[in-house]
Amino acid sequence: MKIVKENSKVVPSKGDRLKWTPLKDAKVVPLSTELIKGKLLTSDDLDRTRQTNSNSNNVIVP
Amino acid sequence: MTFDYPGYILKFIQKQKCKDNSAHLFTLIYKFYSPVTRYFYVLRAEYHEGEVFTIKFYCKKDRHSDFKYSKIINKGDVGNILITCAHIVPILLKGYPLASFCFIGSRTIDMKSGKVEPVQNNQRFRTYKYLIASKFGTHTFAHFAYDAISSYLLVNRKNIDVEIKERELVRMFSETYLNLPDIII
Repeated sequence: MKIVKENSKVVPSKGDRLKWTPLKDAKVVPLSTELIKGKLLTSDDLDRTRQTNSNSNNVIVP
Repeated sequence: MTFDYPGYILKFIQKQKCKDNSAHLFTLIYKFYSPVTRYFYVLRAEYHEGEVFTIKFYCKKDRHSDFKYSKIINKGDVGNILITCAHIVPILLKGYPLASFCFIGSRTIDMKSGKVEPVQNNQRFRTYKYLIASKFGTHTFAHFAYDAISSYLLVNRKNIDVEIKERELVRMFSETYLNLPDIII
């Protein structure tokens, strides 16, 4: 017996949902020393990123 | 996500010299297999002047695609795959104890809609940033994050001044790669 879903919705693709840029409109990103502004992360920054205190037992490189 | 996964065995394939007279000197190529996705993955560790590796990986089935670093595989096993890539760092440190490491989060391309995500703070970068914070301490490396270009740099603390080294590596990358290399469309 064939079951037909009457209220099934078409889920928009990820690019549509998140309003990404069409490939044809994507711009090349030039790299320059001015653009590449880094931030030196402290141990506290890393703790905030992983949302836990550091657990040295699990690290790959200390 | 804890990223407490064992990962897979990395198999060394070859050392490929780069002969374009740029700061990219050679690439060490490895591969590994995920029994979950049933795909092989290729990992490239590209060595540059200044003793810095950029770590890249892609699914081998996409090796001929211009978008191999940007595609969504969507077969799962992300934790094991990323941990396997992270394990390359201690392996390379054995042969290159002064080495620093760079990662770039490629922009995801949704092939269904033909759309690409923004450069800044993209999905892959957010995941890598979390993984690195979880698995790499601050004893061996100084951590630098570049949210604007979704990049991350681990500067080896054996360098006398890590901030001077960081600027040196940034200058080298910006002189070697005029654009972010994987998003030239």
